[in-house]
Amino acid sequence: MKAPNPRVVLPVLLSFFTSVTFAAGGTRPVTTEAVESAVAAARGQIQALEESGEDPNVEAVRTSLAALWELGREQPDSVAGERATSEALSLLIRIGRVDEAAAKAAALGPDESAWDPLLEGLLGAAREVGRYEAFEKAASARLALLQARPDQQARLWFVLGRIHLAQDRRDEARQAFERVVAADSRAPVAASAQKILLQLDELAPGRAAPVFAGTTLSGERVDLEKLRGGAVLVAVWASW
Amino acid sequence: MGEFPLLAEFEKELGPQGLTIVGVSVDKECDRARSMVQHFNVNWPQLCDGMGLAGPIAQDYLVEATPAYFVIAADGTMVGNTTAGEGLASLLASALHGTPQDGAGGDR
Repeated sequence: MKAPNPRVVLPVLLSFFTSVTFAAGGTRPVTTEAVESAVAAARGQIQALEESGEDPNVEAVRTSLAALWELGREQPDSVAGERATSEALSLLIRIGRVDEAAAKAAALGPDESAWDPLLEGLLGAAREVGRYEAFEKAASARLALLQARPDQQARLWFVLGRIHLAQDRRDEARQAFERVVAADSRAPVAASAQKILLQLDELAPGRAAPVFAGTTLSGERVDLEKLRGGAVLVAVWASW
Repeated sequence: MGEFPLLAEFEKELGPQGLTIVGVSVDKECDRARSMVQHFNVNWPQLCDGMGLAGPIAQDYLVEATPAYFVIAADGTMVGNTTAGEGLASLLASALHGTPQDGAGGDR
């Protein structure tokens, strides 16, 4: 209905710890300042175009994002580099270059610490525009690299399960949550996955719908149990 | 939200047949939900706890994205869910007229 709001969820806090990372570094550090100013510049360009109703996928923006990506490649293991990497990919998605973002993500190495903020950034961007392909491709690429890390596999399957839920693909969600438990039944997310699997059963057609009650925006009382005797449509929505 | 007009149609047409719509806004700023509701002249009840997707209803119903629709029969059992307004008509028909849904009312 309207242009998406810039609501990208990003691991901004990470940048505060950057200075420590370079204490022992010999190469020219990619500074937080350099990354933040590149991020701010790219975001500014995109926002200006979006606000004037124009397509942000233009040469100038692509150049800025390429520069941001290069900052990330210069020092992939630094916190500033991770931030540059994940921002570059998130913003690529935001301007609609989903496939390019996914291809870049898939090319990251197995141990790159950029993966966590990257996946988080991709997820935030995906939620913003309601397109999850890049996240799914990146997550699948990551999963293939994680054979020896069942705990991390479990975490990733968990996020994928939630992505499937977001797209109302309940069978795929169920499979993903089952894989969480199969990958590492003692992982912290395994208990959450078990709970969601139970909930998926409980929300199936024919089962009693979860009850709720509350006060409406206009101050009246609503109690789902008191609506028995008539059909109810629960419409969950958001103004964004 | 773009589907208020569609919901208003359902309300007008199916309300007399016993349908109640309950809106659940997952906005963290309920004032935004309130002004949207006023703008679209929505007259069915609207809940908003300001907790976003972490709120109890969103959690109980496994809501990960909006819109999300859940259709509940007169006996309080789930008829089905959908994330698109297009899927609603047949779910609502099942809920109101008891047309059996595939897989519903099984022996689990």
